[in-house]
Amino acid sequence: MEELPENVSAVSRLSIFLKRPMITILLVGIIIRAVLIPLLTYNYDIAFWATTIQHAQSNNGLYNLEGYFYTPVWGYMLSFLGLIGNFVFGISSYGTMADGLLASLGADWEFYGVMTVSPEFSILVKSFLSVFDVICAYLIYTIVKRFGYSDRKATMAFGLWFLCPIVIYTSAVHGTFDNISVSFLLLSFLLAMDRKYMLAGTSFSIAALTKFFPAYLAFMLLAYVLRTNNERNSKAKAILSVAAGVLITAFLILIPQIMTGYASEAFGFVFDRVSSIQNDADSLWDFIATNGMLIVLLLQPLAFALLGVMAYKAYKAEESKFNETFMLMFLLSATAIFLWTPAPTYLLLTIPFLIFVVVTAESESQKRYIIPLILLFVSTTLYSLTMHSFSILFQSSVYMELVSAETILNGIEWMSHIISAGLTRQTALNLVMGALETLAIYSVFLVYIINHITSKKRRSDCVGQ
Amino acid sequence: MLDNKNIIAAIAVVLIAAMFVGEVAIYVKNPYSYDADVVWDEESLEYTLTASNNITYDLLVLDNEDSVPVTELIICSNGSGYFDRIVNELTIRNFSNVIMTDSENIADMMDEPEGKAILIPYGVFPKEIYNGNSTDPLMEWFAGGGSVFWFGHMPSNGYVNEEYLTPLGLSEDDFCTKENYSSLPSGMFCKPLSLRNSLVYNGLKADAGTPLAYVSDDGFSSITSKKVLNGSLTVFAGGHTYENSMDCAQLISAGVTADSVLSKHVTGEVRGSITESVVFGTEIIPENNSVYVYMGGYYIVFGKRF
Repeated sequence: MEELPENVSAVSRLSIFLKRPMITILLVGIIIRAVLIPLLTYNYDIAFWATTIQHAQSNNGLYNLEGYFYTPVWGYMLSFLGLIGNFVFGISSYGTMADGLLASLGADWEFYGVMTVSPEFSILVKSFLSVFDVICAYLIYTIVKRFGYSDRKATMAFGLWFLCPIVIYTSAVHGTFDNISVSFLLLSFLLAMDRKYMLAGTSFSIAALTKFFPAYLAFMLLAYVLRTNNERNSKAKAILSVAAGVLITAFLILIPQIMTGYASEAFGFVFDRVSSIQNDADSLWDFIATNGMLIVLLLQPLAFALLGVMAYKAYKAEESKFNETFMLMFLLSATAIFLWTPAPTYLLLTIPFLIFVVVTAESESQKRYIIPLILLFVSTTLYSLTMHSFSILFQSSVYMELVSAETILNGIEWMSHIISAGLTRQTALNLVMGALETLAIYSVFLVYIINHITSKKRRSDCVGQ
Repeated sequence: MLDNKNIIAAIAVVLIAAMFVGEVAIYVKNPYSYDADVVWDEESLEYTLTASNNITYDLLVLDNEDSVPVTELIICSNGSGYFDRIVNELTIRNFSNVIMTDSENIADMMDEPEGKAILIPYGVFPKEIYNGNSTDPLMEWFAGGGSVFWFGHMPSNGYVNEEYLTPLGLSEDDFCTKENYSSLPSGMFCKPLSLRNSLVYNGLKADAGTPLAYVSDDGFSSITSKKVLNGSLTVFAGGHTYENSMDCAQLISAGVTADSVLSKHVTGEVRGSITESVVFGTEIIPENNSVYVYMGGYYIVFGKRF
């Protein structure tokens, strides 16, 4: 940051500071969130976050009662948030049943929760998640700067994350925690760059025990640590430090579940989804989702093979192109995790790397990654909006009476209308948006393949001349 | 001033610390505590509530007439962890007199039914206690004033005899046999007890007994209480759901019987300690009344019956 002359007044200093593009981006992002947070809330998930805090309050751990289905990290974060909500802000009620909207449970889409959280609880959770949006934006900014790019490009990366529609939607409307997992992953990478390996391992462990998907990127972290240490001894020391960080942290996180016999419940997020393959489908969408899980499972060998190859390519990259190749391989690895059609918020893990590749692009071929970026921004947001549809208005209806229950129920009824052969509008829209999201995911690989072919052609043309 | 490397390390340390503070608050040093006490006077009752944090409370006074609220629960477990969670839900509500058994041993425990209840999982009744005959041990249980909480499921034809439900005063037509949902809260306990289950699939018709929670447009009820001989049968629709685990614990802990009438319902907020009174205006016989206090509304963290 540039130093200002001493004779500049405090007002001028503040004015110059506020005129920095990053501050403008930050303010715009905060204003957008401040408007959305109290108005739109997807209740299904956030109502379970209230349940999780309730478990902590009643001294029942995370898994002794029904209602918490993830690995412990998010539960611990919620417990911390509960302390703030209860002892600092004095939130007395977490939510109520939306009696007037009970009929929505009969809709084709089975994830309209009628347990509607109170606006104060919603604001508490979503504000906390928005802080992680800021942290993520700052970490992406730092990564761009660390690789030697300009402040302008780093600020652009900051803005692309902080103003990204699906990032805003995930924290300010959906109220779910994918950005916490992303924050810890980025932290682990930056800490590895700073050779703070133990802390890098700790952060990686937390990332993977928050939403599981970062675990797939262990190959890339390994490749980076090995590549950036030249001596055999330093390589071994670095890997051992990372591994110690990962294992000690995992142990500290999971020890209560191991001691209380709830270790398998702690991994319910993975096992429940895999075992759902055997379940009978109640609706067309259920059938699609059930078979979708089978596809996810079948794609795992391919995903692991791709992850291995990309980590190897990153490790073997030419010295002069290491940074560029490494981040491109990181992007492809973060995309290869999702060769299926994931929940839109899962793709928050891919977005930072795509943003990096786009803002640091210098050649025409690199700039092509703008297409997958736009496609991901648009498709994930539309897919979320389609799935949640009118349910994001429940809180506004119950607590603020801004929208009538009748309007919401009419909207849900319209979405549940069968248009052809058992296919409802809801399912049709979900399928279209899901297909668009899948296209966005595969477009990352498509751009890579096109770039590879054109560069090969260019090289052979040069040799021919 | 901090350089960027230190800022990154500081962010990591702060976030990691936040997570571990959350873990410690759950498993090592839980900062939450709640309690309640009730003292009867001739025409009023005085209640004292304490809470570590700001929280809503509900106080219900139930007139049970001659019926005896449940003070002992026998769970006929099918081995599912679901029943352990119901026990934990009951513990939150200070109901600890629970016996866990299985279908093979339950008959041995069915003596002195008054004030006792049996919790039966989703599916047909254990054959050791009920086969559709009016002389079965379960019918003797009802005759002695015992209660049964059942997670429903209409028995399939062929699996049981046609008259299977007759001694219970039910028929196949009383059950909801298709996926269906409620549209309205019903009865005097739904809102005061913050009941949640709104599924009606496998539940009973509302008019087959007393609907306690929610009812569908076509007249099915999510939780129905029915008088059977001198006892009561409460049927939960929807099976072993998360909502049912809470509602089941709530109804048992509150001491709701088929004859219970809600005579007072008081709500408010507590932080620290408060002492308030409920005035009835007429002389009250405490033996016929039970008082149930719970905190947290739909997110219950404490309950106690007096």
